[in-house]
Amino acid sequence: MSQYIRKSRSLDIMIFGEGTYPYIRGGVSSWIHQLITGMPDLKFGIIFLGSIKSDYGEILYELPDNLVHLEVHYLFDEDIDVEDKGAQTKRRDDIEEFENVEMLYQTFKKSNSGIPDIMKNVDFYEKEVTHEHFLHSRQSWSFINEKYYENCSDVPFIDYFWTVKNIHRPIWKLASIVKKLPKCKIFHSPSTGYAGFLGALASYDSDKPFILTEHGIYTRERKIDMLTADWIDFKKPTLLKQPEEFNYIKKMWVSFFEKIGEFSYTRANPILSLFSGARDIQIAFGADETKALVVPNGVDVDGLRQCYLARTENVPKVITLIGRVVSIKDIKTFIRSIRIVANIIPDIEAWVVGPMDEDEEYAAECENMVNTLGLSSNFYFKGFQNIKDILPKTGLLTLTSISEGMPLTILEGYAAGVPCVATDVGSCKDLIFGGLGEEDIALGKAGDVTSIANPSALAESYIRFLTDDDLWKKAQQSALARVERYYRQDMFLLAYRNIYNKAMK
Amino acid sequence: MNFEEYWIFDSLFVFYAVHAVVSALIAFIASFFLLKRFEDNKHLFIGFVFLFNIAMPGVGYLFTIWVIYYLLSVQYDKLLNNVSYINMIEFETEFPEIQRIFGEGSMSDLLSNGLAPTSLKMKALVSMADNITQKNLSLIKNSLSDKDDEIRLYSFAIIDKIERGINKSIHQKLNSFQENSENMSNIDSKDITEKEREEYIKLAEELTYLYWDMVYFELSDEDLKKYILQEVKRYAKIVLNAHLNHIGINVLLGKVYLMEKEYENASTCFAVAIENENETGFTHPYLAEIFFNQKNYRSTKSLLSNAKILQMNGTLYPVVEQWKSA
Repeated sequence: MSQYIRKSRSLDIMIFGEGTYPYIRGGVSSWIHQLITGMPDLKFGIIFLGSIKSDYGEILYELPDNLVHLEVHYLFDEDIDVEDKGAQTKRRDDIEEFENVEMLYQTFKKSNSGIPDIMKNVDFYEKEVTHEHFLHSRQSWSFINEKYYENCSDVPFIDYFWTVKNIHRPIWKLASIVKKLPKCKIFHSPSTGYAGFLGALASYDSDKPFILTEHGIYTRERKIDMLTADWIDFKKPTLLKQPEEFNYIKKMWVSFFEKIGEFSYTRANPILSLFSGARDIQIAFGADETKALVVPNGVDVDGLRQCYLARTENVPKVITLIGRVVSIKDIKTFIRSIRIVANIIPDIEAWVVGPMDEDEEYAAECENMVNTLGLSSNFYFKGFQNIKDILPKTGLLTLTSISEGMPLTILEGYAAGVPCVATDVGSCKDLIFGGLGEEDIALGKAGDVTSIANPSALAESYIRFLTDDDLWKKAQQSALARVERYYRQDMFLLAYRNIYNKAMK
Repeated sequence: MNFEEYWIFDSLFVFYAVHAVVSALIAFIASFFLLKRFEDNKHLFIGFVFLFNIAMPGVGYLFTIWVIYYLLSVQYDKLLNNVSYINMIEFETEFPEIQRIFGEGSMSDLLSNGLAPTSLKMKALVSMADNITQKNLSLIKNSLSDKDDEIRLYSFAIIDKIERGINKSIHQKLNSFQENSENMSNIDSKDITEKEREEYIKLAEELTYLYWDMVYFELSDEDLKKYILQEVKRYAKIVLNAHLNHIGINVLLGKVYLMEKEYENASTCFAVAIENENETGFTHPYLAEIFFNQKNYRSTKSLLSNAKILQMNGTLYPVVEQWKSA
């Protein structure tokens, strides 16, 4: 299912977003919005890729004027066009086509095996191996049968068949999107995955540059999702299983995501990340070292100065976590740590500022825990708020996440004069202790870093900063100096403008 | 020597006379058919066939001796039964190749080894995630501090999934329990049917076990643990009010009292469980632990020595033996 919110025939930069801007709030969405509004002279387009329509609500951002094109596609909604075409087309069992079917299957199955040139051409998916060839021909059926018996005859066939079908199905949808793209000068994707595949395919098709900026590591995140997925519930009996054996269906999905990641890395130039640790992971997943660059995030330091100026003399006994209420943010550890802090500072307040509707079950669990631990008068879920209203009333910012990229909220807090206590994930340590060299370290510590899922360590840091004014003020000065020097929005925008200019040349 | 003594010689003479005649006859008949092929050695051929026949009894003795020797010394392959039912080609591929996968060290060593490759650690975690025990979960929790993001994320995902599962069940049971609570304010009331009462008690029993799982798998930290133990006690007492001799709940409540060092209450619970547990011996070590903590070593020895069922327990046998000889 496709929908055009805004439509243009030609534009400068087309951004491919998978499950993000403008329907979901979060780090990547803020980054895209910041990029578009920060370069009003360039015409942007967005192609939003969602799973199914019912997963998303209304547009959550005020769309900038220079966003001239916005089209929305749902990859897993039943697409009548594609399905019926298969049923109505006369099925041909052509040997050459069948070899292509086998090549497509084998390519997406094996990671690090290279990508045949023919598969970089969008016509391959439109003419050589169409959806109906792949899933409706007799030869294809025999081929799937053969592979089933060869690889996983202990898994129910129906699971295997639908996995093969569902894994590959979006490929043709993405190919059809490429065919209908408006004229663009640059393609840009904030992740690998389906968005990255689309960007790479569009780039091959039009011979225009493709830029990849990874905020998280998509392939790794999908791998974790797959390994813990409940919907893939078939398990071999323990006695028949080797200790290291993954569920074959899960393995198929993981290999597929690794492969489309490789597809993106192969075409993208440059391959950008937010901090050096993420760059190392990209290289480990197959990115070319010579193309991998680091461009840190930046925030509107001048715009947030009013938050700093609005602060009172005393440090508010308020610890704020700005983020979605989802398990990866480990809100429960934050709640537990506040229980410990409340024993020492009874009037402590903890605020969680962020949407609670993304994982309602988890949010309910967190609310229950607040009541369970007797923190009803200390702990508040504020929902989505304007950070300019929140930051002046905040004494400490915190992040208790299990995984992060380069959190904008830490930088926004710095610009508003709020130190941060965070877990040692992503670039948090670099942002707090200084990770850009000796000069950065010399600016001092803008807070503290603890190990993950450690409420006692977090509580100890919170108590230290909220009971020692000198320590807090030193951290505030370090925070202000660091964001001013290294993480200004204009520096971030300048870096991207240079990258765009170079690509357009 | 009488007639009977000479009979054997006469018989031999007659046999060889007849045998010589028959041999000569066969030699002549053979020469009649075969002389065309051996006409150059006519006499030699007839002589050979004649002597061959004459010699047959003697050759037969030698041959018999050789056969006996052969049968004594021959070695046969072992006989396979029903070999026709086994497809040897499939049989060879039926069993997976066995090889070492995690090396010589334990899971614990592997997961804490900074030099071990991520892929190997992931395999170990996947394996443990399929078999969640208290020990495995403890190892998975340790992996939360691993430097590798992937290991950390996956460990967290496993723990989060288990915690969510238990919390979800608690939430569901709690809702049902609270719905029933108002009706059950007087559980002995005659207006309440037996089925309703049993359902209410069953919910309390399930809640007891679910809250205990949070403690058992160490999913709650110290602050939360106190609260959860109170909940375990609360629901356990509801069950015991209705079924005083409930073995599982008595053991569980005994464990809670033991953790809280309330030895008298714990002893009572374990004693009730032992009375009703039909000699499984499962509860004896807990009671022995209480005596030991109270420095009542005589009772510890007496309890462990007299619990015959513990002799069959591989884990506790050495401990029991040590106490018996103390």
